[in-house]
Formats: sequence, C-alpha cells, structure tokens
Amino acid sequence: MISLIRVFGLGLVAAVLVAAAALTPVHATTSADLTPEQLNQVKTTCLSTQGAMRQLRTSDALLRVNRGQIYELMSSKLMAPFNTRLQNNSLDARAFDDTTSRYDVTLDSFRTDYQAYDQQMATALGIDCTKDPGRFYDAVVAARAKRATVHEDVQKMNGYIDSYGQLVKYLLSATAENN
Amino acid sequence: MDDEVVKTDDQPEEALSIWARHRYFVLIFSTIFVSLVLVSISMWMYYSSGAVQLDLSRPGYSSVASQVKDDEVNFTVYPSTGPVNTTTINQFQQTYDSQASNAKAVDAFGGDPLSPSALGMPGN
Repeated sequence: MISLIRVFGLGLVAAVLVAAAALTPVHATTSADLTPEQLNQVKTTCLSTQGAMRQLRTSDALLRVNRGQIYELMSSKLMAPFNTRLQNNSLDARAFDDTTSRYDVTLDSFRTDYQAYDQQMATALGIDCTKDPGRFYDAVVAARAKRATVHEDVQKMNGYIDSYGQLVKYLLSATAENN
Repeated sequence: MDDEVVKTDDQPEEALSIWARHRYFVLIFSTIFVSLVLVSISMWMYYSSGAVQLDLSRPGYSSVASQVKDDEVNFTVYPSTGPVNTTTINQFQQTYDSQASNAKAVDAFGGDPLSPSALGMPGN
C-alpha cells in the first residue's frame, strides 16, 4: 500500500513539473526591436507607465506578504506535522516528505524570485525614462519576465498542494480498505 | 641619578597626557564608527534577506499596510503526535482542504500587468 502511495506521489510530482514546464514565457520584444517612432512613444508615455508600475509594485508587495504567509503556514503547520505523525506511527511517509520538500524548495524559489522581481521593478522605476527610454523599456521587459517566474513558482506550489491533498486522499482510502 | 628618575617618569606622563587630551574625541569617533559599521551590517541584512519586501511600513506602502492579514490566527498546527486512522486522517483532510482552497483562492502574480499592451507601450 505504502509503495503504491509512493508511486502515486511521484506521478503527481511529475504532473506538477510538466504543468510548470508548459508555462515557459514567450519571447518578448526588446528595445533593439523598436523603431525610433516606437521609442519616442515609450518616451512620451513612460511617466504614466511608471505611475502604473508603482501602483503594481505596492499591490504586489501586499500580495507577497499575505500569500507568502499562507504558503509558509501550509508547510510548517500542516504538511510537516502530518509527515512527522506518519513517521511516529512507523508509516512510510516518503511520498509525503518528498512532496513537502519539493514544496519547500519552490517556496524558497518564490522568495528569491520575488526579491529579484521587486529589485528589477526598483531598477525600472529608478531610470529617467524620458532621457533613456530604451533602457527603461528593457528594464520593464525584464521585470515582466521576473514576475512571470514568480507566477510559475505560485503555480508549482499550487500543484504540490494538490499533490499532497491527493496523497492524503489516497492514504485515507487505503487505510479505510485495510480496516 | 635624580635627573634620570625624572626623565623616565616624564615619558609615560607625556603619552598619557596626549591620550587624556584626545580621549573624548577618540571615544566619540570610535562610538560613531562602531555604530556606522553595525548599521551598515543590519541594513545589508535587511536588504539581502528580503525582509525589505515584507516591510510594508516603508514610505509608499502605508496605504496597503492595513490590509495585511494575520492568517496565523486561523491556522491551527496539526498535532504531530497521535494515532493515524481513518478518523484522524479525515480530520486532517478537512483542515488541509479548507486551507488549500484558501491558498489557491487567488491566482497570485497571474495576469500580465507588465505586458506592453497593458502599459500602453509598443511591442508584444
């Protein structure tokens, strides 16, 4: 039963990884691809763009605090104690441990990727876009890519949360069958 | 002989008097220096650890600081000791599912608000 759970768990982890790979970002335009007219357009609208980016940065910071807290608690207050409980009862918790450690690794990536994204936003907002629209454009493109990476991390974590839930469901049905 | 005694006593007295003359300056300067070093280290840790991103008391973030939720209150730690049977797994599953749906309720960092079209810039 337990090895079946492990196989089942590995299958779920593979499904999460495949789903995350499907989220690879598409090629984005850089300032080198822009015509002088387009660069001029960036220059004329960039101050309002920076205003919108400032608002986004603020709302993302709130999202980071609130979501990050929940993601952290899922691991520390539910997954880890349940894994320990399985081990305390001499049950094979490897599939659960594996999913939890993958989740924790992704949570770490989420933290560092968000940090990189926020720093990139700060860089973009620190550029005098009326003087250097090309550099500003590239900085926005980079920030967009880094935000997409943070979103990928969130998707992966959601996948692991689902996987863990499936493992619990499977364990429940297997335990009920054995009784 | 007396002259020699006076000479040897004068040298440490002279050194002490230089220290005595500048001791407040040295004390203040060294205090400021140590403070600057400690503040630099703590600022470096504040920025490099990512704590800065979680600090919504920074200027510019006060508008959203009040919207921070304390989810820790709603999260009960699942006891790591006790039996594992259908009843306990069921209990865990209920708690887990409710928190899991809470965690997935928002598609965090989804959408594409930095796309050129969303920002009114040229490109794709």
